[in-house]
Amino acid sequence: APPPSGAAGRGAAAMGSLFRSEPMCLAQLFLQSGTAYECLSALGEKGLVQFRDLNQSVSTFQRKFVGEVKRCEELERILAYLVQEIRRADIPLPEGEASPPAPPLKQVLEMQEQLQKLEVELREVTKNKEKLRRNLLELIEYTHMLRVTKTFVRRNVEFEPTYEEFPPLENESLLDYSCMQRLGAKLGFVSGLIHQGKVEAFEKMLWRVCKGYTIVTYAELGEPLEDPETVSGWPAAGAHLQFPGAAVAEPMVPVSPLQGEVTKWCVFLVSFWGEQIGLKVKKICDCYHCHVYPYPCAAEERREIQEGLDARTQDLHTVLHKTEDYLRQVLCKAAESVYSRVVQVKKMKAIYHMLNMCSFDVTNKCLIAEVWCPEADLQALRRALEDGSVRAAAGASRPGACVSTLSSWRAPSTGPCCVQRVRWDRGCARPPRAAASSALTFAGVAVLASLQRFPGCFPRVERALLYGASLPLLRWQRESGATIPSFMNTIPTKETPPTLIRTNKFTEGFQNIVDAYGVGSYREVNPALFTIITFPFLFAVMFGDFGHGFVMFLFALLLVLNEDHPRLTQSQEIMRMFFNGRYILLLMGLFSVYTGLVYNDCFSKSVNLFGSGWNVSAMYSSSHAPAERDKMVLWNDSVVRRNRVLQLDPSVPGVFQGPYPLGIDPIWNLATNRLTFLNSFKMKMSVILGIIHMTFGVTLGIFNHLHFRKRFNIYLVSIPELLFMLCIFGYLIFMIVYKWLVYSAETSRAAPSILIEFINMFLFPASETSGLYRGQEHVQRLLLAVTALSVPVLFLGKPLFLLWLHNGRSCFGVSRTGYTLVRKDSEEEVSLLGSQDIEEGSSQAEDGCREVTSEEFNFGEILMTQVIHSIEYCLGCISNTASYLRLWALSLAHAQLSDVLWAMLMRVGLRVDTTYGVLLLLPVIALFAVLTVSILLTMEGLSAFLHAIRLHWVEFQNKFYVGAGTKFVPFSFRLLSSKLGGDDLV
Amino acid sequence: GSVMLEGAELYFNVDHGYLEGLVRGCKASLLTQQDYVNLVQCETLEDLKIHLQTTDYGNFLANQTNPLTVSKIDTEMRKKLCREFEYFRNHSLEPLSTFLTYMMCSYMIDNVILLMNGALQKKSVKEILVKCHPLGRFTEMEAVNIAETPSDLFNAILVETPLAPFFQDCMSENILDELNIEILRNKLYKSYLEAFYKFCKNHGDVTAEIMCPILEFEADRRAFIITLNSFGTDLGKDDRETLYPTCGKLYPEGLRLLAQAEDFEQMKRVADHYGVYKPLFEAVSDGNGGKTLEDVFYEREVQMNVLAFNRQFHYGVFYAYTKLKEQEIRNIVWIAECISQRHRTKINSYIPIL
Repeated sequence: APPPSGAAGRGAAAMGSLFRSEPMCLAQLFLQSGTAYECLSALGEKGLVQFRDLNQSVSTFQRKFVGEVKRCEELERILAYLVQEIRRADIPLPEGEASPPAPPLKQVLEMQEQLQKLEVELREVTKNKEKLRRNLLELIEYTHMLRVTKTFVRRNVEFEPTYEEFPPLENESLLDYSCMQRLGAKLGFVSGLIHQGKVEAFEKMLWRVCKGYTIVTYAELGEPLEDPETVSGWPAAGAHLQFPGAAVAEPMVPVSPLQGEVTKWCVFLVSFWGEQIGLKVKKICDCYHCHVYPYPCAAEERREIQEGLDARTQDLHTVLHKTEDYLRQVLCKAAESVYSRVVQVKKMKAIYHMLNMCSFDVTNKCLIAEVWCPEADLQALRRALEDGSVRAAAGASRPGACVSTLSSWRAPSTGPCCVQRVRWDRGCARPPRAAASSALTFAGVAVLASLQRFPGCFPRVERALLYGASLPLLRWQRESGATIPSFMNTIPTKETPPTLIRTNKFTEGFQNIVDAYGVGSYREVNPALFTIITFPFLFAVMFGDFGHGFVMFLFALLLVLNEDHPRLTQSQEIMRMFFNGRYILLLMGLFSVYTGLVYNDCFSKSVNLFGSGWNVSAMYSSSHAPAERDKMVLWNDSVVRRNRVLQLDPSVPGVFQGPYPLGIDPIWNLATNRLTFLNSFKMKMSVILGIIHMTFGVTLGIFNHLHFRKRFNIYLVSIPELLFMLCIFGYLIFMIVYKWLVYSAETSRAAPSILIEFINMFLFPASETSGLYRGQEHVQRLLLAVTALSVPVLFLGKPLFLLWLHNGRSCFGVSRTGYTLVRKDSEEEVSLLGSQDIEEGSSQAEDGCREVTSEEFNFGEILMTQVIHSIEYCLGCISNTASYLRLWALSLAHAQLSDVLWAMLMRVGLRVDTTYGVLLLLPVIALFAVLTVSILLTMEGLSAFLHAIRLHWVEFQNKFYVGAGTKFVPFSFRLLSSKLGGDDLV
Repeated sequence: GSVMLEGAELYFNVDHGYLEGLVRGCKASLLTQQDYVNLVQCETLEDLKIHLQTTDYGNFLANQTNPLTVSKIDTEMRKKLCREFEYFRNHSLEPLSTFLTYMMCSYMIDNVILLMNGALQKKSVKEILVKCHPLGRFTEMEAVNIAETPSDLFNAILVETPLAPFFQDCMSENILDELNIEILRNKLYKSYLEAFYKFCKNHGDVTAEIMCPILEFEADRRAFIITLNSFGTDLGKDDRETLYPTCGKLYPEGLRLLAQAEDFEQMKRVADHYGVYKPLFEAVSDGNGGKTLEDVFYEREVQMNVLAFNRQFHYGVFYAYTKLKEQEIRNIVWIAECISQRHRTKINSYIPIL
């Protein structure tokens, strides 16, 4: 999906931060009925605001603009018909690049008339054509029938004498020969065509009903024919079932224009005796939908009919041809504009849908819409409204309506009286009279609208005053006929605004990962910013192989470099998934290269870039002075020959020359204890990374508390949480690092086990252990005490504090916070208010009190929530830390899998001797490449990806992220599908 | 056979899981109470169309040219139901396909009778065909007006259709007049219901547990309705008794009593013996504005069908869904009729689907 709002091309002021969602404000738009359509059209092009439905209780068909929506649907129906006809005629439909703006109201009627006329004409021509074609098909069928029945006649003639055998079957008495004559006269024929599949049933029923008084002859028609009955122009839309996955139910769209169903047919001839039987035969023919044609008995008659048919067929062909040509001309002309029409109608419909969400003000002159708008876009919103008003005014060719905006008008709940500051955008030093009056007028409208919406915000006296002040203004306006331009003002609200985080093509993928867990609450810290680095990094820890990483990087780079290629942008399913995540893949590849270098793994082999730090020859006794030989266990020829496994001793001088500059020393690739060594390293690394990641999460929680002004949460929740984690697991990290640093090759045998030390920290063993450092016991006791103390604080701190706030400080405390909050909002006004300062303060206190009473204080609930949260956190610290061990497990699995692949394929391939080796090596390498890509890159990559996602969603984000917001969905034409024949909008 | 009986839970989904999921999804698209509240407020049929567009019906009326009529809406809704049913049937395996065929039979019977009545009144087949329920369509039915007696009808036309087995009891040489057609219908329906009941009973498992009570109710409802309709006609009491389906709860005692009933009060007294039907008859109120017996039965049927969805692994959901959808269509048609005839006082007496 395209980004919710075009991030590119927006001014620097609108640049949003990825750290938090953007500040939103609720704004009321006062759209004058005449200009509302144009204003919304301008808004839709820019995609700035999200509309709120103010008529939720009103059902769809009772809304104000239902008529207009109906008209749009009518237009859509016609357009769909046109598109279908054009497609059927195989005329290319050009899809324009630029999307035309919504049609001005004046043009709509014109457009409708035009389209309706076109439709009527098209329908008529198509109907004619269908009729002609049906006639033609019938003639063809008749011709075929005549041709085939000719052979039947010959046979019938042969049967002629046998008629005499039948008369006794009739219940009439047959005395003389004349009866035979009469019988001959009654002999009748019915002939026609029938679907091949129905022949058998048809014959059976004929036999059952007529009890053998009929003779049926039939022959298959060699070529399949079109069924004239199925020639029709309009297969019902939606005539197929739309079950998910039921792709079989796709409608069969005829390929060539107006083609009937092509089936195999049988020609039949039924001969019968008697009127009654004849009627029955005809009924049965009707029942099986046979196409019955008159049957000529005599050969001459047959020839005549045949000739007539040929002539008529010729005529019909020419007429049909001409009709088709004309139809094509009409359609070609329509095809030119049909795309832009479709887009225009879609936009128009969207506008009316939005207008249906607006409410009307008292005077019915003006529509009031409530929208969420990013604060950064307010200026753009004002401009869009102006544009819309100007365009509407120009469209109505009225003398230039004075456009001015009423800015920074505050709704009355912040103060007893609204302060208006009218700014003259056109930079007039002295506003003209008309402008001034109109500005006053819409101030009046605004006041009245606010009165309607927030009746509770005004003390009664003031309400009366405001009515009194605004009504004369409105009356004056009505009399003078001045036009009101559309304008807006922001209103304070307690509702949670939607979350908008502007993304670009790079950050979009990462934001999607976070949003899949839950759209962030309004203004909370957005983990996507950190995910950009931590996600590929954690992935790479599990996918550490720079060969594989580089291949992944190249693949992603290819996608990124060709990102404008139409085949990629319109790709489907799996390819689309890769394409949308191309930047994630790119970073994942890069980081894998890095971790691969650290692990020194390239397709499971190590690379010796800088020269190993280990020296094997130093282990031989011959390379040491005789004095030293006794002190150390050294090798000589017999030792090397006899032992299968030899051990390098780093404490022997010269054997270990210092650490490898980057990552793991390649010599480990040869060691048998390589796994033990790497496991120890990777396990510790996983724990360290995990604890840092989680601590970071808890720290981000502090930013949330700071921003939402819940300072007490920092002291009562975040800090105990941090202490709990750091005193146990932070100390574990300390021990790991300490042991790494302090113990060297010489002292390694004396090094204590961290696991035992860590367990002893909780068990207080009676016997003294050696320990890592002096005074370790005391430090550990202290840490344990801090941990134990932080638990009750975590459990009870917040609920008790809130209880204390509620009981002891009652109104005072909350009203103060309320005051500061509002004060910040209304700083601008404060300077203007002057003498009313004191009054404001008192009303604030009142407001605060009302807030408290409205919010129910439930101690039990708060306590329960906090206890559950704390238990989850404390247990989570342990289980989540263990959960990070997946970093080690997956990286181990990856390394081992690639090792197996190498051992089973490449090693075998490389062992074959040189003469045939080349021949074998090629397929082996091919197989190796295929398996590497399919198993190691795709499957292993997917599994590491999923685990990385889990680590972010569960272990990291549950430390601070609520994710209970709703996404900001602006009213934007860009979100309409611009495809022809695509499904509906909204 | 026996394995199936024991382990519906184990094996059901192998063959019928997809369709069951589908039908449950379809059931979720039935109109809600809120939808009905909105529909009732409609001023014109156009409004109705607009509201139906917001439901699962979608733009099923988009291609209808103006003016919109109730019958157009009805036809389109039936077509939609029929498409769904066809989809189920085309994707079903035995024995579900037999079950679905049984479901179709009732509509086929109705269509045959409708066509014969039409032939009696000398109406053209095309005219009647439009009125036939699309679920009960079959090729041979257009030829039914050839037959003059029930045995004719059987021997010539219907012998190869699924309806053939139901003809055992009604082979006679009577001329088909209006009364005989009605008797034919009821006899056919009787054997049909009994056969369907037997099929469900033999199938066992959850299907039997769900379907048998529904079919029992259906049988008893027919018995009541036949009795009610026969008051004041020249249908004899013995004849009447032969028409009652014998697979209901009323069989055998209740049916015998019902055959003797001479007016509504006596019928009600019969129903009083049965705990299920007593409250239904009590809910019926005379005078205008009250519920008719038919309405009460419909309500009970809806209730049973909705409850069928509480159990899993049985075919009853297909039956219940079709019946609920049909009731929904009846409701919408009722509302549409009230709107188009400006008869708003009765608009609220549709049967709510719980």
